[in-house]
Amino acid sequence: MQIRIDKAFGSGAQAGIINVLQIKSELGGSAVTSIFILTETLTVGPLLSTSTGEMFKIFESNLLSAFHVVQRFFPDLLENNRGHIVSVSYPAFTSWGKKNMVPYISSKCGMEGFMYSLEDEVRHHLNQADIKFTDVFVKLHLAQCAMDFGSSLRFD
Amino acid sequence: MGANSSGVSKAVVKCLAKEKPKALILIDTCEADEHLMKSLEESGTQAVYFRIGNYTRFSLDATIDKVNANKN
Repeated sequence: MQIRIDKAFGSGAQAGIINVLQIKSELGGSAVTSIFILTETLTVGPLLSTSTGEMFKIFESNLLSAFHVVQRFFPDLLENNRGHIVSVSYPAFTSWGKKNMVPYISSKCGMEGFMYSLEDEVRHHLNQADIKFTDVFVKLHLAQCAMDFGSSLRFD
Repeated sequence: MGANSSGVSKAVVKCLAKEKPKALILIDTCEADEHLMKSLEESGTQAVYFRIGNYTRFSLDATIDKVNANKN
């Protein structure tokens, strides 16, 4: 087994650049058949006091990271006509009704849309390839977690 | 948040047991927990684990284009 842990992708213009060929060689020629998306970044704060950079970082963590990885490794799944994309996250709808969470909820809704639309794309445009999509919604105490950060329920 | 949170790793392990993938990719915002690592090791699955931490930029390069070019 080879597990690579990128603790941080460094900083600067080259930060976070991951070589797909290198990853494939690390996997020893085995084609990627499963992609697990577990990213979850939660920040709480009023929209007007949230910087553009901070908002971008939330979207990058919660949504764009999945987009990048799936886009790069999707050809492998199609080639083998087998694959499973699993997204494990808190459902966006459990966050509705809480204040100061605009970027987070937006990114979560984006992630749900990404999964559903990708599944539709496979079904309709990619010859119904045998690729499974699973959304695992974790029922965690997100409300409490968010309130610890300064959010609150609408009707409390 | 992420795989270290309650039950998330269990969901992954359950999928691993059912699917038995040869190679997989995980993207997470925190370190892999022991339960998950152990399961990966026992299953003999080749895994690449990306951890996105401290709001670092995350993007893949354009080498996939080279891969496609080689195929063609």
